Amino acid sequence: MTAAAQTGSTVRRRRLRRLLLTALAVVAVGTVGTFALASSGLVAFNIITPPAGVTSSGVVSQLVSLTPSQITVQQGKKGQKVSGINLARVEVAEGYAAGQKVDVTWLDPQDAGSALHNPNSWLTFGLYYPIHMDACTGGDPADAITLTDGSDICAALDTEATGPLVDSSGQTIISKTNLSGYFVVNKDDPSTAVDCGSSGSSWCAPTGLGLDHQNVLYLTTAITVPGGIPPGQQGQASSLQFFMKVRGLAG
Amino acid sequence: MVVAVVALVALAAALGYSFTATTGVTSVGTITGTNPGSSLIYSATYSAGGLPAAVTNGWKYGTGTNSTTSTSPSWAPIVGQSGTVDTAGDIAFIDATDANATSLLVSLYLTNASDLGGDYSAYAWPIRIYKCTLSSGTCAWSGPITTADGTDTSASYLTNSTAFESVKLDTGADTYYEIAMDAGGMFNTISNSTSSGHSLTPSFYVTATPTS
Repeated sequence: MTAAAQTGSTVRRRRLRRLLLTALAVVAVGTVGTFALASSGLVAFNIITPPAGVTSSGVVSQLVSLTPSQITVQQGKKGQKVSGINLARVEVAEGYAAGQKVDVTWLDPQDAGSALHNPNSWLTFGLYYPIHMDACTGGDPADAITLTDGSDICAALDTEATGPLVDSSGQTIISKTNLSGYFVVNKDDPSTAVDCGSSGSSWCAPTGLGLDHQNVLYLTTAITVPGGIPPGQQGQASSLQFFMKVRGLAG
Repeated sequence: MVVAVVALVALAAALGYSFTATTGVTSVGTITGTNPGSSLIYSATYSAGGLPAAVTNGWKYGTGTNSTTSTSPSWAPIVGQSGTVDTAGDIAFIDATDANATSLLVSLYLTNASDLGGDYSAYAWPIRIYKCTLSSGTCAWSGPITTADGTDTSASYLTNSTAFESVKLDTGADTYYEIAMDAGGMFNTISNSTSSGHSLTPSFYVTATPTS
């Protein structure tokens, strides 16, 4: 390499070094500047107002127990099933149904023999959401729920509910060997509650229940009584008792 | 054909049936408590003592002079059958006299649910809260109360699928509470083993947090 070429190479290296140092200086200045801005910044939190439809105590869901109408179970050789017995209404702030956990525990299974005439009777539980007021028509894929005031609501089974012993239809069975269970609601309810009309097929909020900005589910049971005369003397109990609770799982 | 009328009553009060013990009586096991700062939780140890200094007649179901000895709830599990708690008892005593707080957030946890599952297929322990208004060291009891956040403890149960309960209790002068297990409820016994992985006696952990 000639002396002229060496001189040219040295100049290029110096220019490159100068350029790199300049770039590093810009980065350093930028970094220092960033810290300087942060040290004088102000942090504010945006606390979201509780959603409409929460209870007065601030929870998004609550369970209202219902006193079902008296039902009749006949003792005899033929098995029978009594359906559509409402035990509770679950009220949730609109848009917050998914993630609610509904527990059911049978408190007096020892009374099944006397109250139902057969200790091997069992109950099927399901969660239903209303789709329109009035009784279901033949085309509705749903079951009628009769409210305590005698009016009817057509409601559909929440088939998306899950739980340890909840089957693919969204229902669970409680019997003397399986005395408790729970559902987790997976179906999304309307984020803005829609008043129920006299027809429809999607989740709506029944009118007249004083449930502004809330959607509801009904915990409903059906009793299956096996046929045949149960052995031995049966007691005199004439009621069954259940403990139910709703609690949100979602954060 | 006999016609029976069945009334299904939801969230009902405790029943109070009793069963003849054929496999022995079991009772509540370890009860521990914690709280930040001063002592707010007094665990039932089923022996003398364990109450706030101002309280000389404290345990609701206690025995002995001035009820200083708490009573253990008990029942008789029979394999293959369901039963109920036969004898009511004490679980924890709560000091709610803190003038710097408007309420206490009290939580009761079931700490051995896994072992209980080895002996019970299901259970619903009737957990109640009673209020003690202290006068000259003696509790005047009221309840089961409805808590400040709306839980009706006359119909509250700790079950195998709920496992804990949290409630809000108002504070005040001369105000104390007791967490008790009343008679009633339900359990279904599938084993009476006491080996590893099994337990017939629930154990609890209680916390109390002052809130404004």
